[in-house]
Amino acid sequence: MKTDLCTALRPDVSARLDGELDERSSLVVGEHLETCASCRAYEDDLRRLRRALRVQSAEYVPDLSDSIMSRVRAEQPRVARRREWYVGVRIATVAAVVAALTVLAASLPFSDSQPQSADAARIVDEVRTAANDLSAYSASFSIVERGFPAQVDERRFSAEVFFDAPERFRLKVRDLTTYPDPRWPDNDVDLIAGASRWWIEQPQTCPVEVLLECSVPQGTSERTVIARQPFDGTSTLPTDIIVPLETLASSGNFEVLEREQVAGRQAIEVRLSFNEALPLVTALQPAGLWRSYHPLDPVDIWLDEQTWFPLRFEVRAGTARGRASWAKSEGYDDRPGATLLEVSARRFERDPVTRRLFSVPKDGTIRSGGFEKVNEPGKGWLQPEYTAGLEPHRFGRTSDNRWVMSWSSGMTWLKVTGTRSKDPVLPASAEEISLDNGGWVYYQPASEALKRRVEINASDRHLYLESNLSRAELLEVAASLNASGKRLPRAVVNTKSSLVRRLDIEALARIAFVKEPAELPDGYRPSAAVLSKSNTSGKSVTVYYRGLEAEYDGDGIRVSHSPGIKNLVPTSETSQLYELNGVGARWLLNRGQLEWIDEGVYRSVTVPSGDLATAYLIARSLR
Amino acid sequence: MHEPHPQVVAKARQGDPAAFESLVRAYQGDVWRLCVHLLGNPAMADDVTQDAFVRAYRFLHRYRGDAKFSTWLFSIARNCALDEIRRNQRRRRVAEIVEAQPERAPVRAELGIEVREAVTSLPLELREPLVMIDILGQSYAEVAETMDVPLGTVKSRVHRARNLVARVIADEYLEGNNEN
Repeated sequence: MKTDLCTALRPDVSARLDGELDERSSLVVGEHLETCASCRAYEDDLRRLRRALRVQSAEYVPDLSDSIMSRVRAEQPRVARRREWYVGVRIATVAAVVAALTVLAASLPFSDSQPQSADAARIVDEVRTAANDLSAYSASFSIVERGFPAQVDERRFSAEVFFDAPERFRLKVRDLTTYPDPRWPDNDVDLIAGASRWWIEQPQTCPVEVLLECSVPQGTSERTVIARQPFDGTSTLPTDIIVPLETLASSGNFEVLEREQVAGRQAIEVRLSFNEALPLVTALQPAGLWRSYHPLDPVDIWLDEQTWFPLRFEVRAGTARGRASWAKSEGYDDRPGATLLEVSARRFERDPVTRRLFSVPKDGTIRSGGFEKVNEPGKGWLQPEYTAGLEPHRFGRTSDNRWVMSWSSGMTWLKVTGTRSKDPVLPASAEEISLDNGGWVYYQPASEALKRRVEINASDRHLYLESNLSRAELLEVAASLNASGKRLPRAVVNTKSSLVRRLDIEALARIAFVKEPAELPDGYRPSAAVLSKSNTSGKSVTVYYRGLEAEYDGDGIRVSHSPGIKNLVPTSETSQLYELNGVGARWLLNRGQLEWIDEGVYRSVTVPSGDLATAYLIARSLR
Repeated sequence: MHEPHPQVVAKARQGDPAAFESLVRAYQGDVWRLCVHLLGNPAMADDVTQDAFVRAYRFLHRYRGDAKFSTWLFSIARNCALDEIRRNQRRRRVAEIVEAQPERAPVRAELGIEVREAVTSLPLELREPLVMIDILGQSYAEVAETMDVPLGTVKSRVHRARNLVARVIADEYLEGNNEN
């Protein structure tokens, strides 16, 4: 006979089976079981159920290790960089659902879309010219980094940079910090790129959080790339330290501040955010252990007005919404406004650099880029008529049957690769552009490793163009190729249970449940849209918004609309609730996603850099 | 649950694929079991297990060693599974129906697929602790940490979960008998 006492004790009966009940309660349960047949039967059921669960779970499980490892191997360079601060899985302490309803004040991280100021436009022009004309360079820098780990508040480095256009580059970073413990490794980094070989040496350590408990022997690790393809993004040349071409030319939004004297030279100060200044700030950190910065941390750069070399730059701790929780999750204790990184040029020269400096070792892990040089382009290699005034550089073939042609001038370069192959796999966010010649091309802005890209899917071949030219110039190069690109099929996936279709941007206005943002960061606009339909979640439209020139953080901003989803699913991820136009919106910190239900339609805004202020403003402006 | 040698974890953290592969081989079974029970679908579990390991590899540098490696890995797998659930919005709340059922028949120990279905039919908040405790053999404290709920909540949820699974299985058992 089941009584109230039975009902009250049953959770304890269950916990006792797991050995999770304290001694006293365990005795009480034991006593009760002696006399209660109903509870004994219950305990028996639970025991059988547990066994059933365990027996059944010991069944066959698939061996997925090969497919996991092939994906993991493709991930490797990213791990070395340690720059995944913008996505992330909360560890150990996973998941606090912070149900505090906070109202987010409107602190605009971006102004209404203003065109670049005349000053900024002039600076970009001058920087482009300076980068184009530069044939050789050498400089030395001093670096001060603050707030890295708690035990070492300040680290100091010296760096030397040598460059011989377009592809010879050398970087030498020496750690001058006195560490409190000999187990801290010196963060020395060496990178040398020669004509077709590239080599890097970096400290081999555990991550900073476990450095002192690290059982791995300290030392250095080396990697060499031989037969390197021209301008190969996987063996990077961080040339923005010479002239911040990518940083400034790609930024939609840099502020021109004042002119002042820096190290006895006339300089102009410009300000942008870390997510825009990433190519410059990380140029001296191609490997090794460095602290990270919030995407909206302000970066000030003092540029030499004659040469456009950076004389000095600083990263400061910003005050954007969500920065404090970001810092906490990263283990930083940054005071708002504090200078976190200071880099100053000690000297620079434009005299030719001896070639001996670029003789590249062949040590450590050796990988071949599979490039074989040829002197003349082969038959059937498609050359653009327009190459933006760049001169022929390296031409060759790769081991996987592609032809590669490259052009350059100073730091500026262009690469065209062709192959006779099947249709390319392009990310959904790639922008579809119809050229005047009637052909279709697919454009992607610069990422952290690769520059701006255009892909053309002609009837008998696939062409890939990559360059640090601007988007407009690269499209002009693409239009001058004698190849008419086919439009990719609208349907990406079409099965019985699901459908994924590319949508025209213009078609969005005709879809009733799609709202468009009135506010976007400067330079952002819709680049692609996808409609998906599935039996389980119904219809959904995702629109990608991207910067015109660069998207170092990933895919850009994503806004999704799903009328088939009526509720936010409970989550145990780290989340915060904010008021958004009168309803509760949930911010998932690790995913950089703000989601809410708006008049029966599920909407979400995903920002790759995890910056809440931007996500919130976009969300608020949907109409 | 056995734990990997700290040196293996340290090596994997440095990006050593061989070390990481040994972690994959040691834990893929448990991660897959967690996923298949949370998702209720072996094909989805295959995909999510792969995603979970790739994510673990990507974020291994953040593993500080203050939780057990298995707990850390399972919380990643759990997050991946929750993402997938969110994407699919498949919430079969059989439990809400069976909660109203008064009495139950004895549980058969040799149940196979019914058990998985019964587990999958539970609301997520009950499904998770049940899978982590009964299938992965985690402690209440580990589950409380992963789910970020008090220990007492784990205890009451796993109890409710067992109750509901027992009833679902019993119902199916009875239905089967009636057909015979």
